[in-house]
Amino acid sequence: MTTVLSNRYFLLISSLSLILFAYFYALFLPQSGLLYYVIPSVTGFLVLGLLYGEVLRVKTLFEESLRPIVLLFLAISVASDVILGFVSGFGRNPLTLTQSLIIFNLVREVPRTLGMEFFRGFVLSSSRRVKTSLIVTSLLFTFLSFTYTRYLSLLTSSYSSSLNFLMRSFIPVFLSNLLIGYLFILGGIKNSLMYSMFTRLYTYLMPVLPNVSSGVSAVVSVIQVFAFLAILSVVYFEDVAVGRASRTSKLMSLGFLAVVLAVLAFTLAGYRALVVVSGSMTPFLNVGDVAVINVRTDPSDVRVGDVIAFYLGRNVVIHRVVQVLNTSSGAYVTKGDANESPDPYRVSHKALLGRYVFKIPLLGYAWIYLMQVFLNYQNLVIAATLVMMASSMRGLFRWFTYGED
Amino acid sequence: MARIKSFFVKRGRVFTRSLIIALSVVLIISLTGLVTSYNYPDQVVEEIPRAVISQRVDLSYVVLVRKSIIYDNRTVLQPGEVVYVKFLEGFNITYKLELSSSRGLGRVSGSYEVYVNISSPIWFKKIVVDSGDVGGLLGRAGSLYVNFTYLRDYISLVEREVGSSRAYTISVVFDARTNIELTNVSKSYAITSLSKLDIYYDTGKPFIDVKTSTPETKYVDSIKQVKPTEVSLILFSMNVITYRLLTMFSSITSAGLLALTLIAITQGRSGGKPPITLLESKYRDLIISGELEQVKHVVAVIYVRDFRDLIKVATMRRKPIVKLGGEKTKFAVVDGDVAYVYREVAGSN
Repeated sequence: MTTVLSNRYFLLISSLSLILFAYFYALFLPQSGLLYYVIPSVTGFLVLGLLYGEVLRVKTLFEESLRPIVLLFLAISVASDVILGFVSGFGRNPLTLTQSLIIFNLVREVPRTLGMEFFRGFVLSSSRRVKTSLIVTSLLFTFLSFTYTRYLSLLTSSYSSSLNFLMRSFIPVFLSNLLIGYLFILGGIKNSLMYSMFTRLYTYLMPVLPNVSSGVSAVVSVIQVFAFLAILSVVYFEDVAVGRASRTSKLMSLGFLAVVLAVLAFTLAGYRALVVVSGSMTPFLNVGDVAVINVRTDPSDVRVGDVIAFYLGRNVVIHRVVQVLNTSSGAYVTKGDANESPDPYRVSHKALLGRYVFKIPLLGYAWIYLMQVFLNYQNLVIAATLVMMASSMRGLFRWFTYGED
Repeated sequence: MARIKSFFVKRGRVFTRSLIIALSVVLIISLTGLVTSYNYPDQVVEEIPRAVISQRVDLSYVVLVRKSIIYDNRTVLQPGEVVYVKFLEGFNITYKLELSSSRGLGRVSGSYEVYVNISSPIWFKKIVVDSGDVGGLLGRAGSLYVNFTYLRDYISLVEREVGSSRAYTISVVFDARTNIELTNVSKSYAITSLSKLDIYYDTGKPFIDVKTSTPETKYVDSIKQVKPTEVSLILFSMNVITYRLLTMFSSITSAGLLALTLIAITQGRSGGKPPITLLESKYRDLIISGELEQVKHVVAVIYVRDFRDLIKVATMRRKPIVKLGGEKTKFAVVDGDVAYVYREVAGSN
């Protein structure tokens, strides 16, 4: 038996079979009922039992020194949730509505996480191609995070829902798995398991969570992973990762930083840039122009002839003021320069966003095209972060690909 | 973990193997039990009878005829005998209300009606001949004489008005509508019974057909009760929900114990291997074997205390680790004019 258990191929195949069985069991067994809790739990325990000895004897370079860093990561995750919660409000976590639900979920998740992490550790420590293994295991674990019915539904989904799934669900989970795998390579099973188990238990035990959209949550998650990998890069491989980063990636990082700082300074100074997407103000404002708006405009300073930006429902409209009313029904009558008649609504002081200051011609075309591809700014931020990460982390990967063919 | 390991070491391989087999069997049985339990519903709805009430109007009759040779000068015929119209005078019908209940009968009220329906292909007539309270019928028999000669005359009178038919059905109907209260049941039951005697009279035939119909009306008052599905094991039975929880607990516990046993086995196997070998194995790509010769340009030799420090130097400086043979194994990384050396000592890692 010991001989069988020391055969790495046997261990790999049997563990993978158990994990895949736990994922696909609903195809041939009843999905409802206690099996939902029992199958992942049992397979998790079995994988743990099979791989424990193999994974635990793997020694890594930074096992001890990585622990405080992992704790720091977890603290940052919690802190960012608290900040998000204070900004957007907290909501009740549906996974913690009843005690029995919490207990059943823990019965399912704790052994499952143990099994999955030991499998990840086994694959990463067995393979000679660490980078390939890391990406493959991260992809596999990400694939297993969503039900197969979710993937099947993508076949008939629209572009927007498929893109949203990719950007807001798949990529954040993939990056999170990448980070956990990376923690294993640096600090062994104890550190990767600590991070993975904490994030799992946090999801299933926290009674309240920040009430944010999936897009914001995905952006925060992706930026967090980026920051964590950057911290690891600086702490452990400054020489290798940062020092040897390519000129292009350095320029990209600097460019990204410059854009972020510029936007921040611009916003703090009370300005907001809006991309013109319709021709109602032609020729004053053309499609693709970026109109800069002073959001600190005093509503009583607005005069006839001023171009103002105001909210119309959830959209922002930029039109010219043709009459100032200051009545209870509305403050201004507006009209697009290219329109023949004034707008059929009145703009209140409350709906006023600000007064037009100047424009940057054509710059907004890039934004319009990007929005056609990415649909919203959250997806764009996630994609940009992913590109940045892929570029700047090449050094980090290079370190542990030493010795690979 | 060390205690668990020593527990298994003390008991030997046979015990460990037996334990693994036993736990695997328990796990498979538990999982199978859990899966198959979903073939049964969580609960079934059973109808439990609270009261069964039955009612029937019992009918019996004799046929009164004139004296004739065919009937051996008898004037009373029993049911089943051929009745010739020529000799028929009438029917003497006896009726009785029969009421029974699974529980004690309380107050019985309601009414009954006896009527005669005469129907032909072109006309219909209902004649009420008796009515009253059902209490009067309970436990005693009533009787009714149907004069056939009178009925024939009546039919003739009607047919003078509406035209003649050839065939008629004369039904003597006993209709009882009863309200029953039972002892210890706080509700009353309404039950209706309809018994009848049908006389089929065809003017083209010399005899008539007589049939009685006395159906029993039965009312079952039941309570719907939800009962959990029971599962029988060898010695005891339990409801299916408890059974599922039990098999869930059993599955997870046996899987956990199986994992623990496997961990103890694999721990025992890897425990004897010195960590340096593991590190060597892990970082085999960085290590080359070689022999030491005096290198003149090396100006400093740094002895590292931990093998992992040497790995760190090798990976950061991108140099191979040279494994040197001899009495004691040494590992060295030569980086320009500095040599980093790790000497393996007993008990070190």
